[in-house]
Amino acid sequence: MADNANERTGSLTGLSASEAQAFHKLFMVSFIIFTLIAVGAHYLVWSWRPWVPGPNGYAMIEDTLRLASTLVSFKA
Amino acid sequence: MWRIWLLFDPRRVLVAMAAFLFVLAILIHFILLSSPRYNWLGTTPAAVAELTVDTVQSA
Repeated sequence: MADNANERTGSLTGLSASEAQAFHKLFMVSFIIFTLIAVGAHYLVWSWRPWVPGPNGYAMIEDTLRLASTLVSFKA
Repeated sequence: MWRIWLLFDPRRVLVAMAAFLFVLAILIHFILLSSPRYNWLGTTPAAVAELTVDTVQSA
């Protein structure tokens, strides 16, 4: 009982060090999975329609893509 | 880093984060839906007009 009380000294939330570490592990795993899904979604949206236009607006990006796809189709 | 959970209550942090991320996600999705370029449903008059312009330009 005394050990348990000592373990919780300095803890404002009442969690022991081992409890805090266990929760932290779970939290970080969930955070990383969430971030990976978000990065994947951003990659898909960027390939669909990029959100940073070139100096001449979105038309330039679309022209470049069109040129690239034309070149690829010529090569194929 | 795990010592943060001795300072902040995990239950409150989880509830606050879930609420914040949900509101942020809803906000961003509605902003995108209201823009002609990123409306993925493509059924608003503005979106249809933009798509038509794109098609005409690329033709």
